[in-house]
Amino acid sequence: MAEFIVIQTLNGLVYSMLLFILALGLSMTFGLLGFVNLAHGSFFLLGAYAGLTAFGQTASFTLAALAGALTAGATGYLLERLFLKNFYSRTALDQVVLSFGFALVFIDVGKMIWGKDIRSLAAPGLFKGAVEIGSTTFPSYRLLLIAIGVLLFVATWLAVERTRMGALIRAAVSDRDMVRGLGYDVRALFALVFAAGALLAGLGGVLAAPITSVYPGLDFEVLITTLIVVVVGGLGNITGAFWASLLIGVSDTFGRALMPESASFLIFGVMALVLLARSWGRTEEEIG
Amino acid sequence: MTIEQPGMSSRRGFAGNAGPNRRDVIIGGAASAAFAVAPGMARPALAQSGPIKIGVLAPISGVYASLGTHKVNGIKMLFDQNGMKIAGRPVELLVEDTEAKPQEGLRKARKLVESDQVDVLLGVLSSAVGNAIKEYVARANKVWITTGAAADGIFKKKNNNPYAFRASLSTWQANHPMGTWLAGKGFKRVLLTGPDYAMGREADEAFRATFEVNGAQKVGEVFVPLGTSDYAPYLSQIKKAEPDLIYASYAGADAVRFVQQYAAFGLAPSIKLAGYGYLVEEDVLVAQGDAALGVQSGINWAYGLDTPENRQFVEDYRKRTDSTATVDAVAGYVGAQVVLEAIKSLGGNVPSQLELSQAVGKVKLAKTPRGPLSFDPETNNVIQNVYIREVANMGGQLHNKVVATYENVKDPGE
Amino acid sequence: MSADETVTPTARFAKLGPLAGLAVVALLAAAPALGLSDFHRSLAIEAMMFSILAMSLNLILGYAGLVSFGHAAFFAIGAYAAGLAANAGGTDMLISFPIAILTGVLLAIPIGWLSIRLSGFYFLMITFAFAQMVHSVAFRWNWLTGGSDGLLMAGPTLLGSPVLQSRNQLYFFTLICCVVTFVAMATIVASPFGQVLVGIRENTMRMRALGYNIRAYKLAAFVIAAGFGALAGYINAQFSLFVAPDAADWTQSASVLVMVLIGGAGTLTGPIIGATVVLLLQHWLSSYTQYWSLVLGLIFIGLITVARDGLQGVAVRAWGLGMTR
Repeated sequence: MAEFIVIQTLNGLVYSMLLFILALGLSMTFGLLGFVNLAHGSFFLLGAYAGLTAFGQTASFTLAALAGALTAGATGYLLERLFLKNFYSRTALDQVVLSFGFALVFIDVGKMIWGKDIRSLAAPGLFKGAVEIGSTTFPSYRLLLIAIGVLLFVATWLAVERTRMGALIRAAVSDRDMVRGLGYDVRALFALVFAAGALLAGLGGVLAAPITSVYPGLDFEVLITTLIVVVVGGLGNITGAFWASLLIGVSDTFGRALMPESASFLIFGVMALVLLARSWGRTEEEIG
Repeated sequence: MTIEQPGMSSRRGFAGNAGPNRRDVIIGGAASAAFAVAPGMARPALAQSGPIKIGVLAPISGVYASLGTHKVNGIKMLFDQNGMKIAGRPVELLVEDTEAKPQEGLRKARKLVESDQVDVLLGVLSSAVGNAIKEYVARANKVWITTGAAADGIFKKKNNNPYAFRASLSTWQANHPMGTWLAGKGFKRVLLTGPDYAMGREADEAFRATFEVNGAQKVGEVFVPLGTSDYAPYLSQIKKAEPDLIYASYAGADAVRFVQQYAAFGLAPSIKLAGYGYLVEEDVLVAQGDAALGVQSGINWAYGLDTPENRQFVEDYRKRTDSTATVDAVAGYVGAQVVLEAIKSLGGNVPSQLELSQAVGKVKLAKTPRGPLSFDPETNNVIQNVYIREVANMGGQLHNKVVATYENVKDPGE
Repeated sequence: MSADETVTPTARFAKLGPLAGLAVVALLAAAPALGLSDFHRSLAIEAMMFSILAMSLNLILGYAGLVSFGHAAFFAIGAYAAGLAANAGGTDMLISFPIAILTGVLLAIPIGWLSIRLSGFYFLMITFAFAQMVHSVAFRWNWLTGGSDGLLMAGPTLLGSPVLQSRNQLYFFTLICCVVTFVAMATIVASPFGQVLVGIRENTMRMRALGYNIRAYKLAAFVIAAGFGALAGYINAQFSLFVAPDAADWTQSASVLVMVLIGGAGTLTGPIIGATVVLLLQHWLSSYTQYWSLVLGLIFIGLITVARDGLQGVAVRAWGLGMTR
């Protein structure tokens, strides 16, 4: 019994960190820029594919992760400079349509470049093995993911809350004109944030690949899951996304272990409950 | 690695160019459909001297895109090998994308049958689409040979109609012999797992019918939502049930992940893994890697099937598409063979759909890449061999080799 | 956007409206006789059916400002209700038709009641979640819905004899439903109820201050929209004599949403235009290339970038409540 709880909690933590890694990029773009990026899943998949190609050339997981992150980040930067920058003043619905358009484009670009087959990425050499926890064999790579997830959260939080750049960005989001008036290039700041969000998504793609595998369609599966996490966590909140990932990850894991078939209802049920609890006694405009 | 895409070249219908170009038909049809109220382009009935038009339905985009592409490759390869002719008469392939969605599939079927006036329909992979199309062809009086749609319920005695044939397999056919095989190997405690929908459940039922004899029993089951990416919560539960065998019916990305995680969580080699052919089919072996070694599965073909026809098929497929043949490519190829044989037996003509239907029913192929094939008149389902395969290292790569053959397996259709 | 209604293109069109509308309906009614081929008739049926679905979504999206990402749920509910009723012996349209609409309406009450407590992006996600749940039920409860393989259903009858068996009959049935839906929407929108909806969209706080029960109005609109959505589902079921879980798929919800947005949310004819355009585009593109997703994406990007207020500015205001920073 104790072992069941320990193992499933570990499983839950792994799944939580996986969710968080996926959601971080979206949470960042949304939280800081207020931009609903439906192409988030596409950056994720792009990073995974780029990582695959890099791994094929170098057999190094680290280089693959770097390649994935940079490819996604660079693409995000370009996208922002060429298209998105005109959309900050547009309504969220317009942003949704634009980013959805890019997501649709990527569905086919991905297939054209990398084909339609399922590909997989092996865990880095050091972490290929497993550790014994009680009577369970637990893959080391998953433990690594827990560590990486926490690290990413801390690093991102520090970057946004404790660095000068982070302060600048937060200021620019609150009052763009003031920051511009102080002499800063607000456009460049926004581009940087968007690129950072895309970079994190791409990095997530490579990190998750040894578990999820890489295939067309993964982009939208990831998008939906991360949207749920971000919504539960409270839009615009990296810390919120972290706690939401934990909540969803752990409850989903235990739910699945105890009642395998009800799993998909659970994640939506949690989201619906959280949303309704938040909305209780308040008018729509207050929570919108 | 490139797989030939049924892109623009297929639209011309012939392996080369020339002839009434389907693009013209599409643009013409488009122009009229643009004004949905305007009189549409009525298509004149085709004389028997025109090309034989075969409507191909497959999921070329969407979730099953890679399987659908293999199917279409298989179909095109067969006709190309025959010079795009049947009994001297030219063949035109009209390929349409179902996206594995019944609404789309039906719309495309209507287009092929009503607008393009095809002589026969071939294809369909998704069971939901197949279910819809089977009724449609009965109402539309058009012969249809499916290369997929494996759900048991679609081809039963009670819903048999003269127009629909299944040249691929039923889930029952593939999983039934596995029960006999594995029980015969001495396994006594099986844990069943798979995706929680028709395919997963039907595989499970068919397997258990023959496995649970002589004291062998099921010790547990874990059915998960389709598309589950993390099996970790289930794997420790599975281990606790102390099975000596896990029988799994996953396919696609789910199969990749399940097999990988089964190995990663240390369940191999103490608990044997076996399952429905798609668990370790050629298209997922590359991604699964060594985790798949030794896994046994059952389906109506194996890459390593050592017959001259299959060796030739595999080689030709590789030359043509630069990729490994899969069971779906074979399904397309064999389905096309059935169409070819049937129309050939009528001298290259399709005088009426009922005559074509009779011709198809009479088709008996002895030497397809899968072995012999014939149809059961009570269900119009194919009677064929089912192979028990095992993943092994063949020439440096992982492929499925045959370890046992069950001949002339017929789905009872009850 | 000025409040002066008479100068907008929509208003100008509205003046011609009834006459132009009658002409279009007459043309549509005559089309089969004028040689509209079998297949194109089926495309027309689908275009009209999706027009009904788009018009229903437009009521809550375009007029009340509720952007739902789960409207396909009611499309599916209407279709499944029709199928299940038919298979249980209720093939008579006098029975199956009300059952389908009622089921949609009844299920919309709890779904709507819960959903309208949220707005903006949250509303989007919760409606999405409900549609996913409908999809999940359709996909896995085989004992009820036929599961992932879908549900084959018996054909409709009327007072004992089979009806809607020919493409023509279905065509005219759908045409009538489409016209009725359009007239209903026009009436609702012009009525005080409709004006209140627009008011809620424009300035909820003001409307609340004026004493309107915001939630009651929103719920009413949601339920009416669900009813018409179920009607579209009913027609779909009778047309194909088959229902599958993909009717509740999120891509179906996305498709309807796009139909309304492209056509022009908050206008009466917009959804019809949008539905026809999207349907035909989807159909042609996928026959032409397997990369239709790419083309569709480029079209969206192009449209939203170039045709700035092509979305009629209404959707801009609708979303504005929850999202702009």
